[in-house]
Amino acid sequence: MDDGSSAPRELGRGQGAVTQRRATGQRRTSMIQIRQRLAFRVFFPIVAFTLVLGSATYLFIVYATSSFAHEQAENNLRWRSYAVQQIVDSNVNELQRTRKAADPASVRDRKVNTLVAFEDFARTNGLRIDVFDAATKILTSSGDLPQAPDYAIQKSLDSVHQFGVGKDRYYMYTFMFEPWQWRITLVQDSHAYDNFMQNLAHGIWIGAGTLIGAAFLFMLHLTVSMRRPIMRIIRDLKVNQQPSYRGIAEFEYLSNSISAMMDAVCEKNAAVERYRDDLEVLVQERTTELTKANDELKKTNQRLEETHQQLLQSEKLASIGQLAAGVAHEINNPIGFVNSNVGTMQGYITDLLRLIRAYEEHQEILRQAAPQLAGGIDALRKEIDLDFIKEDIAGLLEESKDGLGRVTKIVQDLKDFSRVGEADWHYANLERNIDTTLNIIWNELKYKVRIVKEYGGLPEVECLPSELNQVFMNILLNAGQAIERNGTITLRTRVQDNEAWIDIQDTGCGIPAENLNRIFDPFFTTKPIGKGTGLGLSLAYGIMRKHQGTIDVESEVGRGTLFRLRLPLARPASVEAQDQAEGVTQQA
Amino acid sequence: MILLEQVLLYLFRRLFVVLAIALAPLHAQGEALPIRIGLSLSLTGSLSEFGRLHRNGYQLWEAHVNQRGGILGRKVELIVRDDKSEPQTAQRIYEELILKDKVELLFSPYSSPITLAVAPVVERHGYSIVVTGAASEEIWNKGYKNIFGILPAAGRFAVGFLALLANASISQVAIVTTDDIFPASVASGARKWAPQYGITVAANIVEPRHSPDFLRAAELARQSGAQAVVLAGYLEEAIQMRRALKKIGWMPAAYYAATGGSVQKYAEQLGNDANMTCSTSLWEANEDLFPRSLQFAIDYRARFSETPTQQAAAPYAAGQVLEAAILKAGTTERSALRRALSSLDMATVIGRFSVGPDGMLNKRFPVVFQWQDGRREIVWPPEAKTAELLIHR
Repeated sequence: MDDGSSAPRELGRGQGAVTQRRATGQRRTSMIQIRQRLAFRVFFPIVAFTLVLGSATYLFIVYATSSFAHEQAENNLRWRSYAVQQIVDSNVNELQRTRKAADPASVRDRKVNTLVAFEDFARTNGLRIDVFDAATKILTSSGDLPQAPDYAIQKSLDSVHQFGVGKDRYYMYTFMFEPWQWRITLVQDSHAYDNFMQNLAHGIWIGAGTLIGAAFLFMLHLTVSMRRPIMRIIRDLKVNQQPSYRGIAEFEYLSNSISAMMDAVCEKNAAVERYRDDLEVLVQERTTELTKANDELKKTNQRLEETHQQLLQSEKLASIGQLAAGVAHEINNPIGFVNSNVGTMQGYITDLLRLIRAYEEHQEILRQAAPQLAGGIDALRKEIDLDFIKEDIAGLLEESKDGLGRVTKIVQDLKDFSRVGEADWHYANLERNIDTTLNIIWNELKYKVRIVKEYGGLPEVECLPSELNQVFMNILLNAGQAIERNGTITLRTRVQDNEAWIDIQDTGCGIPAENLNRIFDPFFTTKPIGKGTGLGLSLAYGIMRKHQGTIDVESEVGRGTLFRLRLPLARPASVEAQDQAEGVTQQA
Repeated sequence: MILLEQVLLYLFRRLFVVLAIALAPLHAQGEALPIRIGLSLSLTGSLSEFGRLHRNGYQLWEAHVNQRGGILGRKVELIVRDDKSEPQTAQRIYEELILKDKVELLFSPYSSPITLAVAPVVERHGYSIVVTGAASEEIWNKGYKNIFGILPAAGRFAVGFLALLANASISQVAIVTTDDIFPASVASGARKWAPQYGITVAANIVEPRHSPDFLRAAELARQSGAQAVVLAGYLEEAIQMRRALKKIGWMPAAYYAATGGSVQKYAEQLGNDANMTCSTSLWEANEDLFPRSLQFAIDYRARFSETPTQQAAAPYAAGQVLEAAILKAGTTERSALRRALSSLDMATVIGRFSVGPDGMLNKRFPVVFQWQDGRREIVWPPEAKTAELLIHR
């Protein structure tokens, strides 16, 4: 059953492992940092060398002194054995000297005396002396040291043998004293040797301590003497200063070398810096030039495009104009003679009506004279409703004349509007041009737009009228399209600041603010595809700029748009000079 | 560390010697301060007889040395305190003598237990003492460096008596002792050496120190078939054992009582019953064995109107040793004095003084005497005997 605690435990272990790994990594990093330090690099070899040398020396000393002590202990024990032999010999000799060697009591006393002497000797020399008789029965044991094991006694016969009890080591030596059939075993501890070794160890430690201390001081001195100049050099380098260490020749040479190197590097850096700065300036200049050229190219391209479009539009308009002009010309002649004929016919009809009226004044006479004829005439008169004709014919003629007048006007407007090939600047009445344009496009506006004219009476303005007509037409068509129904287009004109101001204000849907800056861009349109080319206002802008005029827009979504056209009253000199230059170029 | 200590110690000693030499004329110009030597003695309690004898010996030496003008021009002044025969009391007294009275030197107390109690105090403070009233080897088995013996080891006390038994063809011995360190050492020595003489220890009887039943011990000894009895104990134990033997109506062929049988009071208290009792003597007024012992005995008798025993001779000898050591060292400085004592080899009223590395006396055997007609007769060693051993048949 999962108590749900295993996961956190695992997570905890995982976190612990991560922490441990991180800590291990940090330790490893810090160890690497320590290993890379100068002090470590200096200390470590010396410490390692000292330790290795010290250990080797220590081991050598221990080995040598151990061997020496062991040899001394063996010799010591042999000499003591010899002394013990002397003790027992002297007692035997004493028996012989006193001629009591055969006296059991004397022998017994001498033996006891010898054993007592052994006891003294053992005590004063820190030995154990075991005396065995011929039957290997122990007679006496003297001293506090442990008894030698039986197996070792044979090995130690006339030779020094070692045995251990616990951690302690002992030397033993056994010899036979034949006169009394004694087997005497001497046991000697290694305390003297141990004390010697202990003192030696103390001496070694003191020596090692002194050596290590001296080595440490030496290393400290070495490190300080090495580290200080290096740190001084590093300190200067850290603050980007040339090291100026003076003292130890090698470090001074190093400092000078670094300083010289820094000089060289600084010079090279400065050169690189200069080259880089120059390069940057060069690149900047080239970039600016390229940008400028690119901009120019873009503008040129844009102008080319605009020009192209204008050309296209002009061509179109020119074609339309030519067509219109042709149509107007063709219509103008028939209209002329129709108008003339209608005028003539009106005279004729007037004459005819005057004749009819004369007949009618004499109708009674006819009726009386020729009732039948009169009756027939009356019937015909009734049939054709001559009275109505007489009343209506005048109206028809007037209407026809009016229609002909309107046709004539339209034709004239067409002719005025198109003016194809009219590239010459001349003074024009712009209010009339507006009206003409309105007439042209009236069909597009008449069902939803009410035109309010607030003309201020503009003087004639030197301009390219047909092109301005294009401007008016485009703005008016846009205004009409902005109005869904029952809108108003207000046309205002006035002269201000020696300019002709023409306001075309509609009550249409308005232009969103985000589009205001783009409406003069070529091909910008919010109309459905196929409805607009996006060139109308762009073209208007180009025409206005051609006239050194301006075109401003104020619009509010839902309330309408105001286009304000401002034109110099006379053609600016710059435009004139440009036109002349273009003319020269074209001629060339 | 040891080397450092040795160097510091050496420098300190040199400084001390220089100061002592420098200040010596100052003392010489005025009244030199006496050498104050402190000690405790069993002036009361179970060991009071030995304590008294000891005090006499010390005082005689004090009188003699001061008559000679003191040591190094300084009189000797003994400061003696009663330890009531109690080791703890003696231990406290020595602490006071050292720390409070600030005595310059120390003498030893009497008996092995008391000496064993004060030895660590003496050792700790770096004083040296010449042990006059203790012979137990246990004192020298502790590794002390400032304790110097002037008496042969207690384990050897009975050797001469065992030799006498062997000569008398006595092969069974009963050993009776109390559980005290000195009697135990004597008994241990007897047990050790008896086989070397072909003697079997028929009974080894140990009685409690404070309530011994010597009647029982005597009975056990008789029942063991022993022909001789070795009693290891002080005066009171020696007397009681002798009386117990008499009471049970058994007199062994030989009776040995160390060390209680060695004092005059033993004979005084037991009267004729003391006769035939053997004991060990570390000193006798015998010029052959102990040169100049007669002069000491004369002086002692003149001063205290009694015959001196080893218990009086030993402290006198200790005074002689200390005096010689001071003269050899040229100072009473403790380390120098210790070195002088270690290397000293001299004759005293109780024999030759020369110690081993452990401070224990070498090169001297005690003598065995027997009370015969109220007199102390040396019966061993043969070359020094004044009478033949009397065996009870």
